[in-house]
Amino acid sequence: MGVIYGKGAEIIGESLFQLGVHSVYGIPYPPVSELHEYLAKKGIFRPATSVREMAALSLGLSLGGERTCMVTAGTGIYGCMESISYATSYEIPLLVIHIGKSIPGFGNPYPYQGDLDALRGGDFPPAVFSPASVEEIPVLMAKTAEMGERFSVPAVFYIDSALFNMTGSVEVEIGSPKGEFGFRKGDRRYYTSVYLDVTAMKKQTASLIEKYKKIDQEALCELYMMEDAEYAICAYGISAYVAKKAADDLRLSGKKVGVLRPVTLSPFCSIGKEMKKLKKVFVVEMSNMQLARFIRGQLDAKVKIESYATHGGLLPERNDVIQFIKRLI
Amino acid sequence: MEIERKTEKAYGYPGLLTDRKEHFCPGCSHGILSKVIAEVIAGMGFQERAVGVYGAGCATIMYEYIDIKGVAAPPGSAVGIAAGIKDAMKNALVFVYAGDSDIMSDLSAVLGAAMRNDRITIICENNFNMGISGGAMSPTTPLGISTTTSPSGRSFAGQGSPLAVSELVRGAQRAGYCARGSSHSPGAVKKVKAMIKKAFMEQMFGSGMGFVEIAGMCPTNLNLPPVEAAMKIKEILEDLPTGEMK
Repeated sequence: MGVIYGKGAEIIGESLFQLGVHSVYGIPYPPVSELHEYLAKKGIFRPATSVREMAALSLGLSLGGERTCMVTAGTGIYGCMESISYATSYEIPLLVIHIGKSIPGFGNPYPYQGDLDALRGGDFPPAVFSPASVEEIPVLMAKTAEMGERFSVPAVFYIDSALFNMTGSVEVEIGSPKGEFGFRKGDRRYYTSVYLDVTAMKKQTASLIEKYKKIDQEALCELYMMEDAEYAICAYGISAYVAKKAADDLRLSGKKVGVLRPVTLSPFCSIGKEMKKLKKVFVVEMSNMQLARFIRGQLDAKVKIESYATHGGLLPERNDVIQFIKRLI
Repeated sequence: MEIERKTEKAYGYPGLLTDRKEHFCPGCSHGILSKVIAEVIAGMGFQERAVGVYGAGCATIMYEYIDIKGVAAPPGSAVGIAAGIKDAMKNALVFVYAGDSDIMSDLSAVLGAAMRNDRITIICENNFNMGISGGAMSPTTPLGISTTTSPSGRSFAGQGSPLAVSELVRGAQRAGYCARGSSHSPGAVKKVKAMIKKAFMEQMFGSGMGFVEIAGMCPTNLNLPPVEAAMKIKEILEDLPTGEMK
């Protein structure tokens, strides 16, 4: 396909197409409708009648051994959580594209990162990847699909609605060989999550715990100008995009600021060692301190954390972030 | 003159049923229908291609009893999962086996499959209550029947009127097959077997989605001995027409 000029939604659509996704079932509510429209042009979109049906259809496709994905935005993710849990128990991949928009409730279609705790919650959360630029979408989409299939777990591509709507010229040339899974793999006669015998359930849970220990080692983190940094900004998604621009300006004014950006939100990189030498960590996010609380739990109590959070669909402003950090350094 | 006696095997344990002892209550229709489904699949020679998706409820572990590929689905999701599997495995014989409550708990999946005319077969065992819950009211529980959640008997003013699931599905279909049968007598079971076979044929070679509703007995939750439970089902069916729906 080469370079395409388009919105994040179209770049995701092209990436899915190149990944050989068989069918995508969904309900084209905005803002996900733009992605569905792209997939319809490619002939791989099929209508569902409810979010729960979409989730069940996607689970069925994965059980049948075909690559698929479900696309959700905002609170739509809650209608898919049951299927995500069953995919974890069946030990099959299940790809999810989730768009972060303002919540709670309908809120508005503008960007927000309020689903971090929901996506990371529970004993066995799905793998969660988060791009910080439009250019990163294809490669991270491929990584998300690959990791889900390698470990036979659900995997979420979590993108805020700012990047989903941002336009860019992006080279989409990806290919991730499809793994064998579901009935096509042929190693199981049936898939169940019913373990009425406590010993059998305990055995299954223990096996998942072991698998998730291996998944933990797959955490990805981008370190930007962190080598000699005295201060770090921790952010993901579009917030990390803004944070890097702010760090550039702060470096030019002589402040030793770097950026630590988790690429995978689940598993989450181990940052305690990296951050020990720092004087202060600034967490920039679009949520009610979900990331800040999580970072707090990872760090030595001596390292001070300052939270810069925006709400309601407002992006973190580069100059505001710079002024906030300068004031507290 | 000595009469030559020829014998041939007229009945046997269906080869597709495993040796595992079924957990169903005495007189329950699930045991009868697991045998019927196993016989139809084996008779058509589709055991390698068949995938059963079992709804949440008493029959969710049917994969333990019928020796074909199987899935124990989340509540209300069996139809959606079956449609997804069929999309991925076009040559498979994919069927749902679920109770009335499970099917009704997400009718959007049934309507979606009807809308797209997905090539799947839905077998709905309608025992007029939520068996797995110990006899709670289901959307199909007839008026007047007492359940654990309608202890004074279902009433129009209290819990509303029962849904006629086959008529609902037939109304949504533009193509495919829809029928209501029963399992209260050997003759009725024979007809049900023909309906299931017809629905499988329509899925594999004919017009698409099939829906077969089968009235079933749940003696434990009806608080009746098995034979009286069967008579009760016959009585309920006086208000619900059986046969193929046009």
